[in-house]
Amino acid sequence: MKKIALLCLALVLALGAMGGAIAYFSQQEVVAITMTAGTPDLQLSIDDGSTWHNGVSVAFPTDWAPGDSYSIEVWTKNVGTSGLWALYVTGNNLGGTGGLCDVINITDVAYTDTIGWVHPAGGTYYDGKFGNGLSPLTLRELANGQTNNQAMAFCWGDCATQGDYLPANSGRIQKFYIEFTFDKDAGNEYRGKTASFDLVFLGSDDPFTPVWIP
Amino acid sequence: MCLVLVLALGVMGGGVAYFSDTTVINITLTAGHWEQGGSPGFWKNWDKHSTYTETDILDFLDAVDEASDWLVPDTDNNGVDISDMEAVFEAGQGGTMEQKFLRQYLATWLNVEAGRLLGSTVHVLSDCDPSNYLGLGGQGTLWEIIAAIESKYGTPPPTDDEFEIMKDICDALNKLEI
Repeated sequence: MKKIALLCLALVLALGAMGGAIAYFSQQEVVAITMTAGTPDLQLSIDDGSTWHNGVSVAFPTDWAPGDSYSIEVWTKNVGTSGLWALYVTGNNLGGTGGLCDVINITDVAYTDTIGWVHPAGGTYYDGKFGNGLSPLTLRELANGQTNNQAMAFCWGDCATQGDYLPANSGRIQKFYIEFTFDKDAGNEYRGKTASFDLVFLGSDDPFTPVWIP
Repeated sequence: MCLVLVLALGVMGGGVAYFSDTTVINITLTAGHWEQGGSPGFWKNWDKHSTYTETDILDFLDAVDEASDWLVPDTDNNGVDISDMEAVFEAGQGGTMEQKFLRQYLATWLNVEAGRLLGSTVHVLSDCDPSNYLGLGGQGTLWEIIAAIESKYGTPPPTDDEFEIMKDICDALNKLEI
């Protein structure tokens, strides 16, 4: 009986030494996967797509008088490898002299969507989204948008089902239009004065709730 | 396990990171040196609109009186005041050609003093002064035109036709037509 007990003990110890389990034949295949994060690269054009830039300067005519309007059409595309869900437009780095930025108003804003050009609320929808929220939207209010965390936001279609507003690899060109008007009642004290600012285009894949659906 | 995940998210910044990219257009806007002009009617009705105060008008008239031989006639001998300005504007409506000229010329001067016309701007006179009465050869700056008109003051006085030439030039200046 003692011999049997010793044999059992030896068997248990032997199995333990083998790993405590039954070993099966097996073969393992390994697939090497490299995951590289994409990178968005937002570019813009102010000459209908002839040339594209990561930043550009524009000087409007210098003989601007009260009542005059000038506009700019900006084309945007994403040449990167990661799509951008939305486009935000705001202002930053306000400069200039004589308070000219207070008598220049943004009188029309438009963007492209699935239905073509859209002028929200006749192009004045964003008057209520910047500065004091009252019309007209002044250049000062727009140019302080980044500081005040205020921006125009654009997406594709219903912002939910139609994908990136600016797909990767230049998948789509989106256009933005803005019109500046020199207040017709501006006085002589503004003659020769200047205003400058950065019109900021931020592409992001951060989803947002659409504020305007055409 | 959950604690590990929470800690890992914390190391990642505590939230979801979104891709983004920014590009900017630097825009510069420069106001020009525009002119507004102003008719005799605009200045005659100075108190109907709030463009200039009475003090402004008196300052303008003093400056005009100082600079011009033609203007401003002190009709009541109590110093140049607003009633003298109004007298010039009223007399020029249907009066002599000289009075019509003075009506337009006073408006031109007031436009200059108020900055509504700029002395350095060049004006083409060939349509208003085809006979080159002012002697400017078809064009001149506003200061040159005013100097030429002032040179006509005195004897012999201009004829009606010559007053009409000067009136038409001032009228065109006030309306920004030349």
